[in-house]
Amino acid sequence: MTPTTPSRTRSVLERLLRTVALLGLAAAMFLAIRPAGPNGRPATVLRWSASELADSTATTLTTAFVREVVAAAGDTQPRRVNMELTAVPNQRARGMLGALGGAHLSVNWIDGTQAAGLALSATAVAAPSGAVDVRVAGAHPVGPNEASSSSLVLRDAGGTLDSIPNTRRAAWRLASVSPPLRVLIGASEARVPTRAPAFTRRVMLVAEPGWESKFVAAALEEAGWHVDGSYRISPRTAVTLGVPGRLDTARYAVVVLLDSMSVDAAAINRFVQQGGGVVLGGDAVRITVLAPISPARATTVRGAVAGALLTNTPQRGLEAWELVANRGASVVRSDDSDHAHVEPVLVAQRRGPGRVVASAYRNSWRWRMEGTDDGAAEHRDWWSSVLALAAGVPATEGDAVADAYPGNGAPYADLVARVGMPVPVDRPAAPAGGRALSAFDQRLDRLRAAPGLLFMMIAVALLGEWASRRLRGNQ
Amino acid sequence: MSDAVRDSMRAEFSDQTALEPFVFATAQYESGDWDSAPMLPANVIDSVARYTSLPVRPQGVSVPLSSEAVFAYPLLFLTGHLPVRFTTREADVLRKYLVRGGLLFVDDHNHDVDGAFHKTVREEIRRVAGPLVPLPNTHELYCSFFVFENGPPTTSHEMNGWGDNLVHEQLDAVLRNGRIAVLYSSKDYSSEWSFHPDNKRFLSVDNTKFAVNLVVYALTR
Amino acid sequence: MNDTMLLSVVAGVRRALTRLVYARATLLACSVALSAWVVLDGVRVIRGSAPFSAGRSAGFALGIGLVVLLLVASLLARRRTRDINDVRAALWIEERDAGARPASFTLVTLIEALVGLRSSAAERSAAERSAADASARAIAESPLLRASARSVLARTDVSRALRRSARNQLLGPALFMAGALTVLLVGALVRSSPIGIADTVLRVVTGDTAMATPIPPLGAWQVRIDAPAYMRRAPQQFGDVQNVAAVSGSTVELRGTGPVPEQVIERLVGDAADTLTASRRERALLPTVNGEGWQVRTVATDGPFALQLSRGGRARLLIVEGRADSIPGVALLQPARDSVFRTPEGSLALLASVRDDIGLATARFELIVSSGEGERFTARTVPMGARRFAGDRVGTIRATMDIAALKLVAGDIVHLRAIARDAHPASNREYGSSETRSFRIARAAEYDSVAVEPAPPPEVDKSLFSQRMLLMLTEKLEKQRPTLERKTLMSESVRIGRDQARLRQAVGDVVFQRLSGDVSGEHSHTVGDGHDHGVEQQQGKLALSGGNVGGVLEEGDDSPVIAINQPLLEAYNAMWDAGRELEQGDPKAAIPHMRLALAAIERARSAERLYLRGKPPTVIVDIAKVRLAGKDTGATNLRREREALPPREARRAARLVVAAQLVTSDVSVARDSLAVLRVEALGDSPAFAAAVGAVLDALGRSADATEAFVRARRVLGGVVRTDAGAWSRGVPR
Repeated sequence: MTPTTPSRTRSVLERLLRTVALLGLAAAMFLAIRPAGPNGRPATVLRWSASELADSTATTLTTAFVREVVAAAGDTQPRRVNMELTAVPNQRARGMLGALGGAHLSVNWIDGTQAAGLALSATAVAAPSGAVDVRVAGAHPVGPNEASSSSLVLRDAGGTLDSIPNTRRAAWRLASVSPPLRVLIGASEARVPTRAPAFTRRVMLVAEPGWESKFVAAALEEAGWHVDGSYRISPRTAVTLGVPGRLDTARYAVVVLLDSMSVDAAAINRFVQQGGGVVLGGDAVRITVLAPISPARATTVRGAVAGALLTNTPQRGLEAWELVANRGASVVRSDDSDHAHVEPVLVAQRRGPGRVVASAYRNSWRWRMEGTDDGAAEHRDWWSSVLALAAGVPATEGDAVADAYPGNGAPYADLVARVGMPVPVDRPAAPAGGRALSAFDQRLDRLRAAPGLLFMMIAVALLGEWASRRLRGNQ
Repeated sequence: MSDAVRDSMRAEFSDQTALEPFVFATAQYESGDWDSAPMLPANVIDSVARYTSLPVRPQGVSVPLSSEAVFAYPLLFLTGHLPVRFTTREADVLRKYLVRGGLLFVDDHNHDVDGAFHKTVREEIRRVAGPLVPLPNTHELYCSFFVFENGPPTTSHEMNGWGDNLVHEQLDAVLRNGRIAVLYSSKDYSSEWSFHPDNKRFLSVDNTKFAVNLVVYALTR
Repeated sequence: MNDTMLLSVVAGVRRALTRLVYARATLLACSVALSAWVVLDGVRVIRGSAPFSAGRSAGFALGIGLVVLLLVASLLARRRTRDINDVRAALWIEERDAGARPASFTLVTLIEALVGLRSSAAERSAAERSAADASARAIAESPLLRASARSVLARTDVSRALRRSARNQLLGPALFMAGALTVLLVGALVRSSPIGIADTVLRVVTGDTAMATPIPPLGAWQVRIDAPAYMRRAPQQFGDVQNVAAVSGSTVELRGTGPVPEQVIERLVGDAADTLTASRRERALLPTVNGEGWQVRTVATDGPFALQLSRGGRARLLIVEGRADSIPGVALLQPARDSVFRTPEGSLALLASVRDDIGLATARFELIVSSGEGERFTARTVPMGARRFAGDRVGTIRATMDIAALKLVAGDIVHLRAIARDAHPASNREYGSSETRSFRIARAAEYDSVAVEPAPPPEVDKSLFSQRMLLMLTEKLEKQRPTLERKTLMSESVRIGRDQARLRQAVGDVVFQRLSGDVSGEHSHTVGDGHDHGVEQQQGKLALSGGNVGGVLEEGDDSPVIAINQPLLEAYNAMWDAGRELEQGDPKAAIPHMRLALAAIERARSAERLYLRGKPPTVIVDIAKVRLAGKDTGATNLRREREALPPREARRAARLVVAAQLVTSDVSVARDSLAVLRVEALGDSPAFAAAVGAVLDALGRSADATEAFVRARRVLGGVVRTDAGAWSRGVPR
C-alpha cells in the first residue's frame, strides 16, 4: 500500500495519541519515584480471639492472620495496620508480626492483653545432679485489671511445682524438671524448654590432708564430681586423687582450694582468665598470692555457736572467716549474726570470663559428722551449690536464641521487641503525618492502587497511533 | 602500726589458719575395759609424727561412745578384753557415726577368737553396722602409706602362740560405699603397740608403722 | 433350519462368547482393585496408621482406580474379542459337539461359506466375486454339508455349553473378587467392634503363628499367701490385687484363668537390686496348669519384688512387699541402773518386758560373769529366769538374782541383759536383747573411793523433770492464750520464765561444778579473769572456750569427765533464750527453745554414765622432737574414687511424671509403674511411698488423681526456693 499523506485531523490525532502515551509513561515514572503519602483511608482496627492468638497449636492462624493483616493494610503507601491484641500472641504470631516490619508494613497495636511482664529463665546447675536454677523476673501485672494479689505458679509437664504470692523476683532450684517449664500469673504465661548441657565434671582439689579435705572430696564425689588432686603426706610421699593434670578449662570446671598453702597463683590466674571457676574455701581465703582475684578479704575468725549444728541453721555451728566483700563482688549468702548485722559467708565475683567464689566456713566437715541426720546430705548439697556458683555452664543448642529475641521465656517483652511499644488506646489509627490529603494526592493514590489502568491507557494510545499509521499505508 | 602489733597479728593469723590437727580418739563404752591399751594412743601419735608431716595433737582423747562427741573424731579406736554390750544409746550413736563417714577400728585385746570380747563385739558390730567380711590383703589400706604386700603385719602375740594360737591372715571389715567403716582385727595390736613410744629406739623394726597406714587411710579416703 | 437361522444361532453364540470375555475382564479388574485396597489397608494397619479405607478420599481413590482398571480391562477384552467371529463361534460349537469323534468341521465349513458369500457382495471386485461366489455357493449348497452341519447343531446343547463356559471363566475371578470384598467387609466390621476382637482378627489376618490362636490378655487373678508354718497363721486370700505384703518365707501363690502365661519373671526392685547383675536381680518362674486355669508360686523374701506375667502381648505386675520377721524387742525394767557392790551377797529382782511382731518363743536373762585382771580374764555365761511363750506377742519375764549363788569374788563384773527369741526356725536366727546392766564387786582397796550403794540418780534428772514440767506449763499457757487477757498472760508467762531462770541457774551450777568445783561460776566468772573453766560467757550465754570444743576427757588432764558439758551448755543457752521470750510474755516463741533444752538435757543424761575404769596414764608425745625422725618413708599411692550416689529423688520425680502422663493413655501401665515406684520407696522414703499409694488409690477409684500426683511430687522435695540475688546462680536457702 502506498503511503498517503495524512489529513490534518488524522495527524493531530496521531500526535495526540503519542502524547497521551508519553504522558502516561511519565506519570508511571512519577508514581514510581514519588514517596509514599499517608494513608487516608479510615483506620480499621483488627481483632482476633484470645485463643487464636495464644494457642500455639492453632494451625489456621498463619494464613488467616496474614491474609487479614495484608487486606487491612491495603495497597496504598505507607502500608500500616492497626490491631488490638487481647492476648499475647504465640511465638509464631509474634514472629509474623515482627516480620511485617521487614515487609514495610508497620503495625500499631493496642495493648488489651492485661498481661504481666513475665520473664522466665532456666539454667542448668553446673553440677552432675541435673538440677536447674529457675528465675522469674518482672512478675508484676501491667494490665489495669490484673489482680495484684494473684499468685505466681511454677509448673512443668508433671504439674504444679510451687506457688508463691506474686512478686517481682523469685528463684528456685529444681532437682528435676519435665520440660517445658512454665510460670503463670493469672492468664500470663512464660515458658522455656530445659536441656541439660554437657560440661566437664572434673574439679581440682588443692588442700592439705585432713578431715576437711577428706569430707569435701567425699561430698563432691558423692554428688557426681570427679576430683583430682594430691595430698602431701610427708616431704617424699603423697596421695594422689584421680589423675591430676594441667589446669585447663577443657579438663576442669573448678579449682577448689581449702587451706592456706602455697599454690601456683599464675596457673590459677590463667585458669580464671580462660573462664574457669575458683572456690576459695575456709582458710584458702587467706592465701596472699590469690588476693588479687579473691572476691573478699578475710579479717578474723568468727567462733562456732555451740549446738547450732543441730538446729535449722547448722552453718552457725561452724567457724567462719569474717569476709569483707570487694567492690564489684556479689554477696551471695549471708548469715544472721548476734551483732545485728549480717555476715557474708559466700561472696562471688567475675574475673574476666571466670568466676571466683569465697566461702567463709572453716572445717565444714563438722556439718556432716556433727550435724543432724541430714547433715551429710546438706553438706553435700552445700558444696555442690558452691561449686555451681563458680563453674561455667556451656550454652546448649536450645539456649542460643537464633534471632536474639527473648522468645517464650518473656513473651510480652518478645512482642514489644518485635513489634514495638503499644500505642495508647485513644490514638490507634492516627496517621503518622497527621496532615489532610489533597484531592490531587487522593487521585494519585487511586491511580497507584490501579497500575493496570495506566498501562492500559498507554497501550491503547500506542495501538491507536500505530493502527492509524498502518491504515494510511505508512510503516 | 607498730612492729609489736604487726607481729602479734601475724602470729594470730598464722595460728588462725593453722591446720586442724589430727586427734587420736579412743572409744569409751559402758561395758568392758575400754582403756586396756593405755599406751597405744601415744604410740600411734608418735608414729604419725615420726613418718609424716600431718599435723597431729600430742595427746589422744577418750570419748564416750554414748556421747555425740564421738562425731568430732572420724577415726575411733576401740579395744578391750571383756564382753562388749553396747547400750541402746551407744548403738544409736555408733550407727550414726558410721553412716556419716566415721571409721571405727576395733582390736581384740585377747587375741582369742573364742574369747568374750571377740564373740560379743562382733555380734554388736553386726547388730549396728552389718556383718564383717574379710578384707582382701590387696586393699588400699595396706598401701596407703607404707606398703604391706602380705596384708596386715603379724604381731608378736600371734607369733608367740598366745590367745587363740592362730596367725590371722587378714582383717575383717564392714564397707560402706567402698570405704572401710568398721575395721576389725584379731591380731591384738592393742598389746603390740601398747608401749611407751620412747622405747621405739630399742626396736630394730618399728612395729607401729601399720598405724600410720590406718591414720592416713582415714584422713585421705 | 435355513441359512438365516443357522447364522443367527452361530451369531448368538458369538455374542455370548464376546460378553463372557468382557464380563471376565470386568470381574478381574474389580478383583484387582479390591485386592489392592485390602493390601494397602493391611499394610497401614500393621504399621499402626489409620486404615486406608477410613480415609476421607478412599472412595474417590477407589473409584478412580476402578475406572482406570475397567478401561484397561475393556481395552484388553476388546483386543481379545476381535478374533471372535461367526466362524470361531461355529468352531466353538463344533468343539462342544459331544457326538463327533473327531470333529467333522462341517458347521465351520458351512458357516465360513455362508459368511464368505455375504461379505463378498460388499468387499470384492466383480472378477474376484464371480470366482469366489461360485466356490462358496457350491459349498453352501452341498446338501451333505448342510445336513451334517444341522446335525452338529442338533447334537450340541449350545445354551448348556455356554453356561458351562461362563462358569469356568467367571467363577475364578468372581471368587477372587468375593474374597477381597469379604476381607474388606470383615475388616470394616471388626474396626467398628471392640478393640479386643480387632486385635484378634488382625493377628489371624497377619498370619503370625503366635497369634494364630487368639490369646486373651491376663485378666483378674487371685493371690494366696501361706505364711511360714512357725507363724501358725491361716492362709490369706486376695482378689485381683496389685500388691500384697508377705512376711519373709511366705509362699505367694497366684492363680488365674485361661491359657498359661507365656512368661513369668520374678524381679527384685529397689536400690539394692539396682546394684545386682541382671541374672541375680531376676529369674523366670514356671507356671503350671491347674484345672481350667494356671498357677505360679514363689516365696517372699525380706525385700520387695515384682512378678511380671505376660500373655497375649500384654503384661501385668504383682508387687510383693516382702518384709522381714522382726526380732523381738526387749526392755530391761529392773534393775534400772548399774551398781557396785561391796560384798557378793544379797539378791536383785530382775524384770524385763518382751514383745514381737509375730509371736514370742522363749525369753530369759543372761549374765556374763567376767573375772580376772591384766591379761588374764575368764568369762562364763549364766542363764536365768527362762520362760516359754506360746506365740504371745507381748510378755514379761521375772527372776531373782541370788548374788551369792554366782560365787563372785572381788573385782568380778557381771553383765546382765534379757534376751528373747521368736519362733523363727532358722539356726542362725538373731535374737532380741535388752540394754546391759553392769555390776561390780568392789575390791578392798576401793572401799574408800567407790560408792557401794547403787548410784543415786544423776542431778540432771531433776532438771529433766523440771524442764519437761515447765514445757508442759508453757504449752498449756499457749493453748489458753486466745482466752486470756494480756495482763494475765504476761503474769503467767513471767512466772514460768522465773522458774526457767532458776532451772537454768541450776544447770549452770552443774556445769561449773563439774569444771571447777565452783558452784557459783555463773555469777563470779568474767572473761579474762584468769579463772578459766573451759567456758566463757557471751551475752548471757555460755560457750566452750579454747580447744575444748569436743567436750571430752583429755588424757592426763585433771578435770573430770566433761562429756556432758556440751549438751548441758546447749541446754543452758536454750533455757536462756526461752526465759527471755517468757519474760516478754511470748510463750509461743519460748516453746522451741524449751524443747531444745529438754532434748539437750536428755542427751546429757545419756552421756552421764558410770565408767568402770579409771583414767589412762598421761603420755604426751613430743611432736617437735619426733617429727619426721623415722628412717622409713612411705610410698606415693593412689586414692580410689568414691562412687557417686544415685540422684534418687530426681529419678523418682521423673518416673512419677512419666507415670502421670501415662495415665491418660494406658492407666494399667501407669498403675504398674506407680506400684513399683511405691514399693521401691517403702524402705527409704515412707512419706513418698504413702503419697504414691494415695495416687494409686485415686486411680483405683477412677477418681481424679491430679492432686495426689502433685502431693507426691512435693513430698520428694525437689523444689527449693533460692535467693534471686545479683549473682546469676542461686544457693538453696
